[in-house]
Amino acid sequence: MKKKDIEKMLINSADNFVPECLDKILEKTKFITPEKPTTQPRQSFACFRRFATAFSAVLIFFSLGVVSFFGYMNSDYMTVYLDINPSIAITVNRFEKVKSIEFINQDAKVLFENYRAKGKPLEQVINEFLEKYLQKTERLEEDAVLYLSAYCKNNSKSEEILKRLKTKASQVLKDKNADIPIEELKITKQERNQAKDKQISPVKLKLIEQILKVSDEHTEEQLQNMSIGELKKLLNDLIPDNNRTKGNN
Amino acid sequence: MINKHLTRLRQGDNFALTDIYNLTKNAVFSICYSYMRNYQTAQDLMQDTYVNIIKHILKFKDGYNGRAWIHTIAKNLCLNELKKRKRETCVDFSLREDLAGGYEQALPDESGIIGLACKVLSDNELKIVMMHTIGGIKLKEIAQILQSPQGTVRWQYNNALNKLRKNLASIGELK
Repeated sequence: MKKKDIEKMLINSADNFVPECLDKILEKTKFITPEKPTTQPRQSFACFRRFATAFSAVLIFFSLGVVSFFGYMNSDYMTVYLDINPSIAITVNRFEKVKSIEFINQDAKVLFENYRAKGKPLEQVINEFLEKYLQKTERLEEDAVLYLSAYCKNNSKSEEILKRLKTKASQVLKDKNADIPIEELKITKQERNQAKDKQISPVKLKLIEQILKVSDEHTEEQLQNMSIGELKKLLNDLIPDNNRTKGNN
Repeated sequence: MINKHLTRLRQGDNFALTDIYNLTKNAVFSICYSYMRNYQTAQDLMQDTYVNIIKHILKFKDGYNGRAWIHTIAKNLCLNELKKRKRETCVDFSLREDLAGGYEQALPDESGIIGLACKVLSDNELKIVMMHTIGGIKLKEIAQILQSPQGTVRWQYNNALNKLRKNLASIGELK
């Protein structure tokens, strides 16, 4: 016997098997009136709930993404040092907005006591720094030199920023008729940490190291008390063709 | 077809119920019987199904699948009845003379193929076979009613037919 035969047997027995109860049903439904639907169909609510769940999940993921992105972008990214005596260290985030300013020497503390830089663009802060410096300095030092240096994990980024800042700074100095040479320097992590330990700027540390290499006449302590211009002059006297700090890296 | 009659019923044409009954009685009874496995209870639930159709006809919307809507009503009635019975205390009718006898109605096809199917097949297999052959419900719809994958339903249906074939063959040999 095939499956089809069994199916046929079952189908044929349906008529005998299914009871006839139409009369009873008609009797029962005689006095029944249809109920009016009072509630909203459940399906639409379920649909809304599903949509709301999916939407909130997407929203949570999106907000987490945004928060972590801004957290990442707002973390300390680069430190830019300005040395002209006063010396300052400016820490910026990935948007190149200033996060904090550290005054490396006493002159800087006096000059920029009430200055608020947090959240300002880096270039603006450098402009203001130079303008303030030129305003408060009655007579420029003869050997004044402006050192721009930067430490960043990304080498190419620090090079690019230094180039840009140098152009900006020279523009400002030109506008104010200040004849100050500008030199740029890249700083390594080790140099930055050493300078931090000695509480001097990394540029000053580099100049002192170079002087100590060629001369025994000066002690490190003496040199630390000299200004950047004086150190530069001393180095030039010791090594007349000194050009080492310029574009050292 | 069914949708047309259900729409008529919704609009107040009570004669539509007869047409709906004629088109769906096999499917509704097969669902009720396969769930309850009791001829009398299945008959009562079948009647309740049509009563419920009238009661809730205003909830029926044009886009619905009328056949599936009726099947769902029948299935839910059966499930509610089974749930109700679980809550009730079991009484052994054979021990109570006043209650025993007269209620249980025998199958019209007790010694036939349906009787054999009831004895041999598992719960799920019987549901699928009854709904498909007696009720004329497609396997796809049965899968939706039972909330199982279509492939599983098809496989169980073939399995059930094989079981029946084997049993019929062994009965033939005995004779």
